Amino acid sequence: MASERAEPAEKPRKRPVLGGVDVALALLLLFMIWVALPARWWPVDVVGTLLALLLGVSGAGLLQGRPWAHRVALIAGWTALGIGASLVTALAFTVSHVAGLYGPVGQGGALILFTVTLLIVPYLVALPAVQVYLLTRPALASSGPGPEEAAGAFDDARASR
Amino acid sequence: MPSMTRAHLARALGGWALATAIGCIAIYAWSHIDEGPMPSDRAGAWALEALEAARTGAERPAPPDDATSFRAEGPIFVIAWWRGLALARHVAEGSLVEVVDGAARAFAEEPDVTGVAGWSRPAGDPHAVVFTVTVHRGDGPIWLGVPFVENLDVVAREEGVHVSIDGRDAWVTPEELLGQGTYDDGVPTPLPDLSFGVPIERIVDRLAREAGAEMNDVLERGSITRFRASSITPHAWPKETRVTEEALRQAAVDGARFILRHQQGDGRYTYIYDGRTGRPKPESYNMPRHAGTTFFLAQVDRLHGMPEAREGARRALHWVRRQRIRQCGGPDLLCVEMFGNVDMGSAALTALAAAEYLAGGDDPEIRAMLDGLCAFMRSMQREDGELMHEYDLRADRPVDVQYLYYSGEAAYALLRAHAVTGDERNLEVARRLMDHLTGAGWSFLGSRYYYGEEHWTCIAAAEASDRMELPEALDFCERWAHFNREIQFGHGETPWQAHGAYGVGPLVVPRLTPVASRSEAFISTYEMASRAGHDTTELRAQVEAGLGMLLRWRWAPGPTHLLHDPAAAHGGLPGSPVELEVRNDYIQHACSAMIRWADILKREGGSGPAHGPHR
Repeated sequence: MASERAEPAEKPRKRPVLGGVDVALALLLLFMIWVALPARWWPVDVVGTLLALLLGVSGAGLLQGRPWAHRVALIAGWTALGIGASLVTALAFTVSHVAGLYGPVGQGGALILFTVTLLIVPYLVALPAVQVYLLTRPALASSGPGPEEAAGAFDDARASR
Repeated sequence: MPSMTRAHLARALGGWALATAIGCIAIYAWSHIDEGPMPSDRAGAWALEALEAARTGAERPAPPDDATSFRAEGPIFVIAWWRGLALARHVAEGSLVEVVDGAARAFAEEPDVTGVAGWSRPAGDPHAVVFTVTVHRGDGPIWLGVPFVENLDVVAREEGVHVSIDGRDAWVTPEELLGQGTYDDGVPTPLPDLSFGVPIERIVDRLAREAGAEMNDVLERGSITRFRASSITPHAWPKETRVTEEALRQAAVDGARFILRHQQGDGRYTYIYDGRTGRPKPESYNMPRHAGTTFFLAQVDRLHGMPEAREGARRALHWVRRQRIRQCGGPDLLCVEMFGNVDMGSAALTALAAAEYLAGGDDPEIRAMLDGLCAFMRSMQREDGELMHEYDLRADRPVDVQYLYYSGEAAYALLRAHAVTGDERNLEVARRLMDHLTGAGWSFLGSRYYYGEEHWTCIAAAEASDRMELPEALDFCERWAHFNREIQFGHGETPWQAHGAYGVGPLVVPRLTPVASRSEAFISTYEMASRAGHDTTELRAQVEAGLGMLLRWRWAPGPTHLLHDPAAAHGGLPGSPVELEVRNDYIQHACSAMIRWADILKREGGSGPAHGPHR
């Protein structure tokens, strides 16, 4: 993607909230994959574990204010967002296919699919989108804070409570 | 990522949402089949009459105008059936009259059809050759190569498969797939009796060979599609039936007659009757189900008056007494053994059947057996009220394991035994067991949102309600009924006429036995709730919707063209709308629910209203 203005210099700054969220999400993913899921299936096990590790590294870097943390957190955010969005899309396509084939999915089926969607969207779409949002800069020049300032302000405001 | 901005993020998320929405619409349109027309009822009836006239040599009736003008979306399939087998098939495009006349000529020249004994039987003879007319109503794609999805890509009972290669076509219609037992045979699950989807690769492979090719050739240069089709058959199955006392009594009596018709000389029953062959399916005999079936026979006699059913129950009980009774822990502690195993379910249901039999008249030998079985069940109770469910004959000691159903069955058996024998020890053990089952036995985080198969527990609770205070039991059973109302199908929620059945989506064809056993439980819950003065409007609608499902799918006479011997199969109830097998407990649960609800309708002074969707 084309850059619209020069990237500001990275500052080694700690971001406890974003870092904490990433670490928590990493642990949640590992728990869901290796404890909650009743069966082993390599696409889910491998991709999910790699994503959890990426989020864990990102979270650790943000918590410690490492110079590479901003870049890794962006990669982790986009990766999680991509996987989450793909899952939601696959689920929506499945529902469309089932509805086309069989007719309505029924109240019970709709409830299950809605519940699964609710489980995926907050953790693998909404949270990564917020992370990417906070770590990226606005497209147009504005008087608002840049990405570093925004993310830092978010953490500072959280820390000062 | 350095060049990423918030605008990029917004565009990416917006693009994703749009692509997903467009993809959903496209996939729906791609997989959906807009059904083409069917001939009118008059034209359909004419088609079967014309084919029958051609077989018997009678004059062909004049076709109605709409039979002459009707054309299907694709070919029309005329199939000649005899003893459940498809003898020959005529596939052609054209008007209904042209296709039927063509089929009549083709069959008359086909030795495989005219050579069978059923070809010359008079019209209406149950063993005569019969015909079906299947009308193509549209086609759609199949996603081959995606596990599970490919198995679910053919809608059971509604769709067939079409393979085309090098100008040659091979078809298999829904009626043929149903007759072959292919629906629900695609994906096995760890749950007993549960599989779903079609074995699509097996079907395509067979069709490819029929078209003179290999499956790989078809995959490379042929086409594989599914097609929607509806059939005109000699007898409708399912058959919509109003839920009335008379209809329920007739169905229960037919069910008992089915059981008796297939009872062996020594008192055992046919465990699984295969409608396609008219023979028992070779399976290990099941003692709890033998006893449950016996209970139903004794019950239908007590509630309706059917001496031949009572006699069948007597023979079945004496077979157990002579062949399967053992001593478990003492000379007075009697248990039931099968294949070297002793479990609580066999003892409990045998005791239940014995108590039900004794309620209609005494028999000293059966009474002695009941006393011994109850003593054994009492000896298996733990401190907390729960029962141990196995007994190790070699070590001569109980095994403290628990299985689904057994404790509820034992509670019901002890209560019925108390009602018959007056032995207070049975009541005391049942009281502690019921407290456990409806209290501590189902109390955990989430227990308000999740339930097992609790039908025996609620049946036992209703039985107990005149002898003990069980407020927790009524609360528990009402909650379970409410939970099930949430997953009970209404009209149009599945592709099948499955309103009244229970399930969580249309992918798996609903099974009939859970409808039957839950209906039994909700009838008991209805009785308890009525006595307690609770509002039973929803429970009543739920029960009648379930019973309507069972009446609709019973064989009366059922899919006669697919049955080897429709007369022998009359009164049977298969495991699901895509099965042609009847296990003895399918009848037991369904017909027990029916005769009990008929009895309630009689006591309440009239037939119930026609069932309908409750939501």
